[in-house]
Amino acid sequence: MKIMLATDSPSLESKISDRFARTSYFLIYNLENGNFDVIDNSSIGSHGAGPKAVQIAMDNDVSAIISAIPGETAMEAVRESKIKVYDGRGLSAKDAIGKFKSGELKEI
Amino acid sequence: MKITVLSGKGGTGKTTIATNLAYSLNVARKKVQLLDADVEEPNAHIFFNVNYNYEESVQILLPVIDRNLCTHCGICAKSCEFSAITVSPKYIMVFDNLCHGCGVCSMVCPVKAISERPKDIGTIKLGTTEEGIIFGEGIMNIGEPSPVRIIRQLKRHIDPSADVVILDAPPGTSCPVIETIHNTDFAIFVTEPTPFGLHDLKLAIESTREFNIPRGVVINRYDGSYKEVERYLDKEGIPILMTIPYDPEIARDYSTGFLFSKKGNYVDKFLDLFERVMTRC
Amino acid sequence: MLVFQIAIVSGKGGTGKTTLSASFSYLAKERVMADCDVDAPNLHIILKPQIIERHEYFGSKKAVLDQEKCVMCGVCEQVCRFDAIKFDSDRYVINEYACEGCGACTIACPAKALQLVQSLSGEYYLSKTDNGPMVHALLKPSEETSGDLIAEVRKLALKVAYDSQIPLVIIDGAPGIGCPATSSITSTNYVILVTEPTMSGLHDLRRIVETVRHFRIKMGVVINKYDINPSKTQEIEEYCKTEEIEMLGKIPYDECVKRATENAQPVILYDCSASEEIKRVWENVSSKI
Repeated sequence: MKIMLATDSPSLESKISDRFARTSYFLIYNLENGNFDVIDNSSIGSHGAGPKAVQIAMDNDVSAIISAIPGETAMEAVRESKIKVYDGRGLSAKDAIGKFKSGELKEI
Repeated sequence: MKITVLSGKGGTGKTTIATNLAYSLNVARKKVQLLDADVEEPNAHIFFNVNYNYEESVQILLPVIDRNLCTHCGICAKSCEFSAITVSPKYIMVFDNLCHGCGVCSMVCPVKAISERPKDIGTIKLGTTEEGIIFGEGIMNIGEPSPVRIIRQLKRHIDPSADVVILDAPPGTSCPVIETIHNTDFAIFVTEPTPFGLHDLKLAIESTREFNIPRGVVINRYDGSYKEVERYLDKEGIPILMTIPYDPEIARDYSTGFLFSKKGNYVDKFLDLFERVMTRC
Repeated sequence: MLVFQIAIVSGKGGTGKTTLSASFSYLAKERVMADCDVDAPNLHIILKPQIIERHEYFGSKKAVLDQEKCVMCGVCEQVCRFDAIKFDSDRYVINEYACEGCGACTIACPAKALQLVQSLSGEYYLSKTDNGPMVHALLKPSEETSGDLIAEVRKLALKVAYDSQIPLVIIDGAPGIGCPATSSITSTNYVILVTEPTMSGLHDLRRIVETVRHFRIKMGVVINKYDINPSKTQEIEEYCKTEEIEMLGKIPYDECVKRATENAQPVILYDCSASEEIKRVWENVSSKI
């Protein structure tokens, strides 16, 4: 199972970003083996950032997203996609993954 | 004679000038048309009693996906510059409010699974005010991405028989303002005598410079204490068409939707303003 | 360290958002200011920032036609739904104001003479002011505002806050109720809604409240020039009560606000009733940090 984290920098030490769709990076983290891929999101462009980010999540076949609260359009896309979003504000990516595993994160 | 009334940003009194000018010209028995092109926030109607007699919708074409034909190849999502479509192996979603109606998705779909349906993005309403001013406004539906089409369609209703057409432009300096000012004969910039007002006035004048249409400035809330706006206009050779004094009474009138030119000698002052516009066209 | 972010927004422009932001920037002990009104920024007029860093911003895409490759077939004009391509005496010309950057023409062109190009649409800056850092931006005239540049401004402001150990970011939000306003609000810790007692004031207030609610952020309302229309003010107060939104304060219509603005100074440096009320609002807001 894979999850996607919206982060400020491309490492597990990074903070979860304040932004969902306009975050600087997405980490695609594999819960089975602890490996992760980095997606540079810095050139997301001016239109439709929300759905674009959800498209990234779907393309990478993730089951959950850990981020700040997505905007209204992004939320619509998230709901439709059946991917769950968890509030990871204030946490590092590493801590967020730990809390996700132990079921401590709140679903948005 | 088509006059655009504009300002660098909201809150300077653009609508106040457009409505009072229309009212005053009507008092002087000119045939006046007032078009409210501030389609995200059309406020001019607040100052009049309008009898609406015509309404039409503004539409764009939205994609409709035939889910039996769709192969989920994702080409439409990749081609959409506005991210209005997302595709996964299981789902395909269209975001109506992000769609600009450009038709690219139906152009690129390899299995012709995308057709189109019209969607209302706004309304044009036309009518006449109690005083006899020909009135029109565009209203953009909430959440729509682009007001330009609504403004364009509103401008198709410019009445060729009117002596004067006044267009109340949207605030700011971007595309909707350009769309409004396009093909008009004169631009009235409304500003206030503060560093904020001056700064935004400069931006507005810069962004419309290449259109090269005659222009002038109205200084609202003027009390003579801040001279920088006048200095700037003097240097640029842009005339001051009118000043309106700083007066809490006028602010109160505005907040209750009352045209202040109905009181005092403002009608004459707005007619003077119009004379100044005419001599510069 | 946690950084607290406060956004000041208004819906309609010209309600006194920047006047309030500028005063708060002086009242806060330590803060980073972020001017997210990138379309017509005004905060710098009062804060007089000195630019330290410049960043380029590449925004919307527009179609560009290579006249050498053009075979004059006119397909681009037919497919463009924005009337942005016209035949002009001897060639096709793109009206960049009408072009929405959809790319239909670039796909349809048989000669591959059209391309979508992302252009330099503005700049954003890190600056210093008398009492702390400031991040601000300027779009080129007639470029469209998007949430994108605002996100950049806010990211930089937050980074500066963490790097310099400053626990507060004050955001002068974008006007309106669309994407730029949303981008100014998202993930802040508190939102101050500035409104005025006019017909359009309450209408916009309702809209912006919906957006703030979506992001589950706490908010409070300030009524500016509350005494120009007492019955509208009362209507706004009743609305806030029903919606359980805190009323942070009511600023009177005061000559000194105009004087302060003319002199490009924050109102709180003046001794007047508006200034007193702004200070009271700030005390209330800062108790939430």
